[in-house]
Amino acid sequence: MHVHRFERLWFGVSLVLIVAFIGTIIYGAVGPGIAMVDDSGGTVEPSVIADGNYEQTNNFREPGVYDTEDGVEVYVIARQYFFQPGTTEPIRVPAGEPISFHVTSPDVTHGFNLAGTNVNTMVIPGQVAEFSVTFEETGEHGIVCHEYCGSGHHTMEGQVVVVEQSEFEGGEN
Amino acid sequence: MTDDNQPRTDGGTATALPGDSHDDDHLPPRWSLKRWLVTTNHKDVGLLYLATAMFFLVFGGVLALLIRAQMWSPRAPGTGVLSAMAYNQAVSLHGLIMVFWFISPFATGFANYIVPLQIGAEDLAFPRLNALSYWLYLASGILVFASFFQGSSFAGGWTLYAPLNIPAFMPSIGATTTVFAIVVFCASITVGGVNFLTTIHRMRAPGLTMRSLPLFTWSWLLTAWMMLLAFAALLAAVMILLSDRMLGTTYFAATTAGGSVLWTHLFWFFGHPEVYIVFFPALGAMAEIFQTFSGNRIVGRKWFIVSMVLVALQSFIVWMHHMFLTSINLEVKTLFMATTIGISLPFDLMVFALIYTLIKGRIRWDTPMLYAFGALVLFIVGGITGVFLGAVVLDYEFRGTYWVVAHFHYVMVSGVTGLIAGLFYWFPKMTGKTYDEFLGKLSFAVYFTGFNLLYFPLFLAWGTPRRVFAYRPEYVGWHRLASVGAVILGIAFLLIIYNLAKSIVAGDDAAANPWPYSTTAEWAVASPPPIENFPGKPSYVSGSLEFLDDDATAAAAADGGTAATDGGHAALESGHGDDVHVDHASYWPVTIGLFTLVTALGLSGLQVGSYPSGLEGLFYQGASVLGVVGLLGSITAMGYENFTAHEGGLGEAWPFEGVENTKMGMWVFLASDVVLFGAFIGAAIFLRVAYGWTQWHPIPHNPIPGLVNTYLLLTSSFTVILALVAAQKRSRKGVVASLTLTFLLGLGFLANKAIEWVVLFSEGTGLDSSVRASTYYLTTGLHMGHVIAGLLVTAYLIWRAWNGAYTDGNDETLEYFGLYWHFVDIVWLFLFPLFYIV
Repeated sequence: MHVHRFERLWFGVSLVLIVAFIGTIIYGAVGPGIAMVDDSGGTVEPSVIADGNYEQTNNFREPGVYDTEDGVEVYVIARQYFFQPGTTEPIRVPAGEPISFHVTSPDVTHGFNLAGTNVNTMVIPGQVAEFSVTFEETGEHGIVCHEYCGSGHHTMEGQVVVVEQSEFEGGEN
Repeated sequence: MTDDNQPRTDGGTATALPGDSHDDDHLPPRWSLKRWLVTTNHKDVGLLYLATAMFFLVFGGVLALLIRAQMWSPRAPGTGVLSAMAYNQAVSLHGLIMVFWFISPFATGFANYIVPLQIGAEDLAFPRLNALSYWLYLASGILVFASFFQGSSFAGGWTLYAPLNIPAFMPSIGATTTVFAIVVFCASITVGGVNFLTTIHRMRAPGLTMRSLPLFTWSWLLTAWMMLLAFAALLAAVMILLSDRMLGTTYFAATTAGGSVLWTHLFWFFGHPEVYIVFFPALGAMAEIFQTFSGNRIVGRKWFIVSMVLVALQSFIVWMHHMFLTSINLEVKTLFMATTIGISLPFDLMVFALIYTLIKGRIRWDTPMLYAFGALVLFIVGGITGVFLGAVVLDYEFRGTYWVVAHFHYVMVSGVTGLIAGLFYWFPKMTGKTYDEFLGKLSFAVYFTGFNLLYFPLFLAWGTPRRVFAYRPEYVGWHRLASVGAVILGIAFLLIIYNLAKSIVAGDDAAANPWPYSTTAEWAVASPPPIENFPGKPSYVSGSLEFLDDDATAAAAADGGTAATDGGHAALESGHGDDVHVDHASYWPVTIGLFTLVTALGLSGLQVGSYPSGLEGLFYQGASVLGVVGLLGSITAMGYENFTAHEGGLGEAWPFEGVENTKMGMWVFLASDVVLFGAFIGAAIFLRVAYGWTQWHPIPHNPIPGLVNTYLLLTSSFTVILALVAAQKRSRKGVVASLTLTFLLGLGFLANKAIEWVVLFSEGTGLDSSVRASTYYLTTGLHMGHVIAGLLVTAYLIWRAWNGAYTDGNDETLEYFGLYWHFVDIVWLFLFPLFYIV
């Protein structure tokens, strides 16, 4: 069978493209270890969060940073129009170890985007977004809400401060 | 629910006998405003669509420029040209207007004008419905415009995410109006979809088989199918949202588990096919232009068509890739990643076919070709950057950033580029004038530069989060470049509009076929084509397009359904010689559009069951009443109007030779209704699963009234069949009696339902009591709305039957009403167990 020169060329180029795409995906998953968001965070009644009855649920705790045996756990509530913690006092976490974030919302859908990192998720009322991230370097990262959430949307900001492990005060456990 | 009985009422008179005293075409001249208000001719309606869509392009474009002005530097809230809320509105409405009120209607304009010419039809199957879908579109556009003046327009993004979209979080009346506008737009799309599908399937010229259908028509056929089914899902979503906003149901309230995820499912089930709905017509136009300007038939034509069909099918199974950051489990996400990568494969094939067509041909770089080629280049960039997003792991990185913004603008606006190519390509045909070639090429140079300056820097500034105007200072340069590009792109559009406007006034006359090597039928007729399109009956039977002697076939067409069954041979059995008069004007589509606008404006004031107080409330209530009354009156009047349209089935109609136009239209409409009910029932089941299947009990305490209603409806279906039998026996009494019985049974159903609801209300179970109550009231309420619409039609049928209709051999209307009525019964058979027993 005669295969035209152009066809062979196209075939080659498309093969290279496919291999490149698959390569990128594998690199993304294995190399930088991009945080996955799935349903492991579970669900929680938005009203429970709104009323602060954290003892009624087993997959969310009072907002704050906890130094547990399993590592550092951060519980954040994104609500109109601030992050708790994050906005009034920054979230302080240590560098060089995995940090588990648990974020939920009692009112509308918010965004949780750490500028300059690969932390990036939607915060949906009734669901706990759970993901893990390791900050290699110390420094400050702004938290942005990048889902429309109402009139105060553009003021909804916060901060994560990554400190040396030695400077990290355990938080509550 | 204006779209419910449209196909039926139109059909009732489309089959009227010829010989009524009609003037030749009733149509005022082109310079008269009246012509444009009453016209039902597909070419006029096409031009209306194009002009209106261009207006919305400018509207959406101005909003885009405001956004780019705000993005000139990173801003704190309250600084820059837009306030925080104004920015939210500008971005939301820019998206909504460009997607709904510009691109799709722009493509619809071409489809209206070109598709009937390409398939050899004198007009669409239901000309008045065509005009109606335009007027509904215009009404919805005016609603969007009005929403800015009712407090605040919708300010939660074009995706209208829940629960921000409910009054608790977005209380302005303008937001309700925006949602209402989308409902009316969906109605317009449904009416248009029914019309185009019937036309393309049923009204092709003899010899024009599906395989030889021109590519633009193919692309539009698939677009129309996708529109019909996808927009039905969106219609369900926005109807539920309207009910949450106006009546106070609690589907999307933050207190219910799963409400916001339900919205994303409903929205994106529509949202992804929408991407192809937007792009397919452009693809079809590009394929036509590539063939004409390379002088070469498209390479792998059959596989090109197969690819388009595959994409159209696959488009319905990729929606969850818009939801990778919601908490869906990883297995499902991986599945949707695979389907997403899968859908890019047929696209690769099409892109290669297009490129190969160019390589094998001798290209002439006229303006349409420049735009079409530009569209291909831009689409390739947009497509490749999209594959990154389709991969779950990479999407975590990119989602919610300007990478996405850049990607979908490359894809969507490459579609616009393809349609602009079509605009230049078909401009001589539509206006009879030639455009200025130099200005055309210049506009392309400016357009292509502006486009890439605008969107490419956004890839480089991809770390910018979406939906905010604060960003890291290192991106300032890229954003300023983009803003400059936006202005240049705007100038390009002005150049295009100037060029075309100038040419309409002072351009040279265009030949019937200005393009060498063009092959499709629209170039075989004058520019612009005469009102009846063709000098004779077009036929491809001999292998190429011929215009046969008109009289014989036209007379056969007038015989309606009987001639339809025997396909291409209808011409042979004619000979009565009576001239057929086809109508091209009706006042009712524009009237219905007007009253739809009034109704929607009035009802938009309704919020969680109450109108605003004082004079404002009086205005809204008055408009609601006036609108509904006017709407009922004008729909009835349209049903009663004598309007003769062209019949189908005289040429190729595979596989629908034996199905009369109106029947086909009814079936197509019911297909979209299946999706509508499917989405409502699916929503109820979704919420129930989120709530806990077993903790959820039916709202009615007693299933017996529901059971009685099941019997009532089934019996009423039976009586409709009796009516049809009576009509066939030419018994006027029998028809009237059977229909009256149907009416009474339906009334019994409603009375039973009313008692049930009154009891429930008195016990304190309202629409807002719980999500259980909401789903029960709304889903059975939607069904009840269908029953009420059916009963209104039944009353109309009884009145007509009393006056002797349907017993003269024309009993199709009864049959088609029967189809609708049986469908409504079947839906109840699903609702009854779901809401009364389980």
